[in-house]
Amino acid sequence: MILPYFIIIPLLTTFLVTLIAGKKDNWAIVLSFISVTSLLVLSLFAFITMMNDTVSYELSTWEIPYGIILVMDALTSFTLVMVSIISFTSLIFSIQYIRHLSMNWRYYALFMLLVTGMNGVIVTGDLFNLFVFMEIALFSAFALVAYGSKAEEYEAAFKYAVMGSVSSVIILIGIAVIYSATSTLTMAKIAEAIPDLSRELVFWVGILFIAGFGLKAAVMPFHTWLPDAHSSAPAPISSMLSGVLIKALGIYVLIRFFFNVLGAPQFFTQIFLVLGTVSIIAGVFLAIGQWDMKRLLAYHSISQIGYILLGLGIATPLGILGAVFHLFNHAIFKSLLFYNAGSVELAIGTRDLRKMGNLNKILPVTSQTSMIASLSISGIPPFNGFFSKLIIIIAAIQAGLPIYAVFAIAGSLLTLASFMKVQRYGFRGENMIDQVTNKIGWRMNSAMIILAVLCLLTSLMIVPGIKEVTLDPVVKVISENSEYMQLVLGR
Amino acid sequence: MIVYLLCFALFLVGLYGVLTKRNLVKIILSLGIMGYAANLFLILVGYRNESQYPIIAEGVKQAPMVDPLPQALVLTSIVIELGTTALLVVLALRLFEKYNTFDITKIRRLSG
Amino acid sequence: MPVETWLIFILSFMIIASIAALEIKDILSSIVAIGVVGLGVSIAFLFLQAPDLAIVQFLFEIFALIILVRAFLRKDYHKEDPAKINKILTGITVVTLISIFLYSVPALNHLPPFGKPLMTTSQYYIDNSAKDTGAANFVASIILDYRAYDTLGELTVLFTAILGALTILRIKSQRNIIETAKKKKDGMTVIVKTVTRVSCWMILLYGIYIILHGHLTPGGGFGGGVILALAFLNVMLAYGKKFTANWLNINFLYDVEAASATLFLLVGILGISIGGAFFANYLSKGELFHLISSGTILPLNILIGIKVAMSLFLVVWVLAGLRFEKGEEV
Repeated sequence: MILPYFIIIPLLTTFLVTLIAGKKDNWAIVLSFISVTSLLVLSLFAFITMMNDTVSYELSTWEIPYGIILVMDALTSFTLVMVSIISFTSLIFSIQYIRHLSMNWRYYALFMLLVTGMNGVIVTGDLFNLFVFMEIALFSAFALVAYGSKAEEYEAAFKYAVMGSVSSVIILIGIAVIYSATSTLTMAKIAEAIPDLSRELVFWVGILFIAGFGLKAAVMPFHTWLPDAHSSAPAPISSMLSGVLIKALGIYVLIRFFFNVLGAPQFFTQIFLVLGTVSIIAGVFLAIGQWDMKRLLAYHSISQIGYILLGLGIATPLGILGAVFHLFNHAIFKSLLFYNAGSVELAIGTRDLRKMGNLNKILPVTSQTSMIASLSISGIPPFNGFFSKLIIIIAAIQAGLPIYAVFAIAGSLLTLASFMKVQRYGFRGENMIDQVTNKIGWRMNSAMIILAVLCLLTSLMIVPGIKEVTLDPVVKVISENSEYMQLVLGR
Repeated sequence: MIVYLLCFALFLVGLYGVLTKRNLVKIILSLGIMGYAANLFLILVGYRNESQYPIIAEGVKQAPMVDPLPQALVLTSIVIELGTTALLVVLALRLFEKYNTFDITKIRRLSG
Repeated sequence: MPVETWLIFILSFMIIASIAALEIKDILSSIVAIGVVGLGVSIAFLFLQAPDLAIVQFLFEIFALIILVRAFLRKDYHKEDPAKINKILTGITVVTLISIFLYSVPALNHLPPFGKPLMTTSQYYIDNSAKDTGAANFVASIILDYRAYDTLGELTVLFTAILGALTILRIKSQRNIIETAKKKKDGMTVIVKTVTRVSCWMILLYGIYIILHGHLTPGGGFGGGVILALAFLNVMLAYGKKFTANWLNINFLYDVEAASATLFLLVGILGISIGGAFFANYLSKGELFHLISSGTILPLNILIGIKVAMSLFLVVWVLAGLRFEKGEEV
C-alpha cells in the first residue's frame, strides 16, 4: 500500500535535512531532489495503475469511523501527479535561484514541508486530518513568502498569515458543527449522514466552508492576500503557491466537500457560478493595469481560478471535465510564467515591465517559453489552455447558461490583451539592455523547458482514447458523487 | 443552546477585532480570541450531562463519560494556535523593524 | 448550580473581558486581559470535564503570553496611537456581524441540545479503548493510537511553526546570541537564584512525571513538555543567558528537537512492517493501570514531551536574545 508513503517521503526528508544539513547545505539539495523525484515516480505509478479503483488505507489498523483512513481515487492521483510535477520543476529551479538569495538548508526543509502538507490534504479521508495537514502547508507557505527578508515580503506574509488563520478558525467552527450534527469525522460517513440533516444547517455549514476554503483558493471576495503574497515570494515559491497550493488546499477540498460529501446541491453550484464569473472578470481587469510582472501574474491566477469554479458551477460532466483539465493546465502554464518572471528578475534585477526591453535577445530560453505560456493562458490553439477553456464555454452553452459563456469568452480576450502587453514591453520592447547581472544556468532553463513541452503535450489529454484513460475517471468520481461514499464504505 | 450562542458571540467579537483594529498586536490578540472560541465550541458540543471526564481509575466503577473525541481534537488545535501566535509575533517584530510602526494602515507599501 | 449556569457566567465574563482587551489603549494591559480570557477558557474546560485540556490550555496560554510580552515589551511602543477610527467602517462591520449572528441562531437550533451529544462513534471509544489500547486515559488513547496520524501532523505543525519563526528571524548561528548575552549583566538576585537552584529540579521532575503518566492521568506529552520548557526558562531568567548557555549546549538542543521528531516518525514507519499499518500500536499492551503499558503510547508520549519542550524553550531563548536597534541583526 503506497498511500502513506506520499506523506512519509517528504516528511522524512524534512527531518533529515534539519538534522544533518545544518553542517553541509549540499546534502539538503541532494535529499530534496531524491525526495521529489521519488514522489513523481510514485504518483505517476499510482495514476497509471490505479485509475479506475478507489482504495483506502486504514491508519493504525482501526476501521472507520474509529480511525483515520487515507483514500485514493482518480481525483486524488490526478491531483498528486500535478503536485509532483510542479514540485519537481520548482525544486530544480530553486537550486540556482535560492543560491542568489542566501543558500540555506531551511528553505529546502520548508519546501518539503509544503509538499507534505499538500499531499496530506489530498490523500486524506478524514475532515480533521485535512485541517491539520492544511495548517502544515500554510505555515510553511507563510514562512517561505517572507523568505527574502525584504520589507514588502513581511507585509505580504503578515496579511496572508492573518487572513489564512481567520479562515482556518472558521473552518474549525464548521468542523465542530458537522461533528455535533453527525458525530463522525470520516468524510464518507458524513456523506452518509447528510441527507438526514436539516437544510438550514447544511447551508450554514456550506457557507462557512466556502468562506474558509474559498479564502485559501483566493476566490473573490477573499482574494486580497494573493497579489501581495504571490508577488513577494521567491519565484519558485510563487509558482508552488499559484500553481498548486491554492488548488490543493482550496479547489480540491471544495470539490471533495461540495460534490462528494454534500452531493452538489443546487444552491452551492449557483454560488460557484457567480463567484467564478466575478473572479474571472475582476481578476483580469485588475491585471491589465499592472506593470509589475509578478503582480500581474498573481491577478491572473485569481482570474483562472474563476474559470475552474465556473466549470464546477455548471456541474454537468462536460463542465467538470473542463474544470479538471483547466486545473491541471493552469498549474503548468502559471508555474512556467512565474519561472519566467523569476529568471528575468534574476537576470536584470527588476520586475517592472517598463524597464524591460529586448529580452528576447539576451534571454532566449525565457523568452520562447514565456511566449508559449502566454499563448496557453490566453487560450490559443494548439496549446492546452485553448482546449480547457473551450470545453468550459461549450459546457456553459449546453447547460443553458449562455451569459456565463459570454463572460468566459470576454475574460479570455482580455487575458490575451494583457499578455500581449507583457510580450510587447517585456520581451520585445525598445530599451536596449546589454548587461545581464546573473546568467541563467542550465537548471533554471531546463525547468522552464520541461514545463513548456508539457504545455503542448497536455493538449493531447483531450484526444479521445487518451481522454478515457486520464480525464474521464476523474470526472466520473466527481460527478457521480454518491459513488465516493459507497466505494469507501463498501470496503 | 444559550451557551452555543454565547460561544459564537465570542467568536464574532474576535472577528470584529481582526477586521477593525489597526494595531498589529491587537490583531494577533483577536485571532487568539477566535481560537479560544472555536476550541470552546468543540468541547461544548462534546459535553454530556451528569458525566465525568474520560479517564478510568483502578478499582473505581466506570461512570458515564463525556465525549473524548472533541477533547483530542482540541488538544491538537491548541498546539496549532500556539504555532500561529508564534509565527505572527515574529512577523510583527520584523515588520516593526522595517516600518517602525505597529499601525497596519501605515504598512502599505504594496498597493494596487 | 448546574453546569450550564456556570458556563453562561464564565462565557459572559469572557466576552466582556475580550471586548475590554480590544478597546484598552495600553498594549501590555490588552495582553494581560487576553490572558484572563484564556484562563476563563481553562476553567470552562474544567467544568466541562476535560482536565487534560484544562492543563494544556493553561500552560500553552502562559507560553503565548510569555512570547507576546517578551516580544512587545519595549519602552517606546506599548501605547496604541490615538486613532481616528473610521466610524463608518466600524459601523458596517458591527451591523454585518450582528446579522451573521442572527442568521446563525436558527441553524444552531438544529444541533443536538447542549448536554446530549450524539456520540455514536465515541461510545465505541468509551467502551473499548481500555481493552484495545491498554491506556486508562481515553483521550491519550485517541490521540496516540486511534488518531496517531493526526498527532504526527500536529507535531509537524509545531515543527514548521518553529522552523518558520527561526527562518523569519534569520538566526544564522548560536555564536552571535551567546556573545551578546555575555555582555549583559546576568541574572537576578541571590534569593531568586537560590530558590531556583532547588525548584527547577522539582519542576523538571514534575514535568517528567506528567509525561510518563500520560496514559494514566491527565496531561500527557504536550502538557509535560511545556512544563519542562518552563523549567529551563526559569533557569534562564534567574541565572541569565550566559550561565544557561554554559549549562545547556544550545546546538545540541536543536539536534535533539529534530531527532525526537524523526524518531516519532520512525516509530510510525516501523508500524508498517511490524504492525501492519502506519502508526499501528505494535508493542505489547501490558496490564492496565501499570506504568509500562499501552504499547507504543508511552514512547510516543515521551518523544512528544521532548520535542515540545525543546521547541518552546528554543523559541523563547531566541526571542530573549534579540536586540532590535535599527538595522542590527543578530
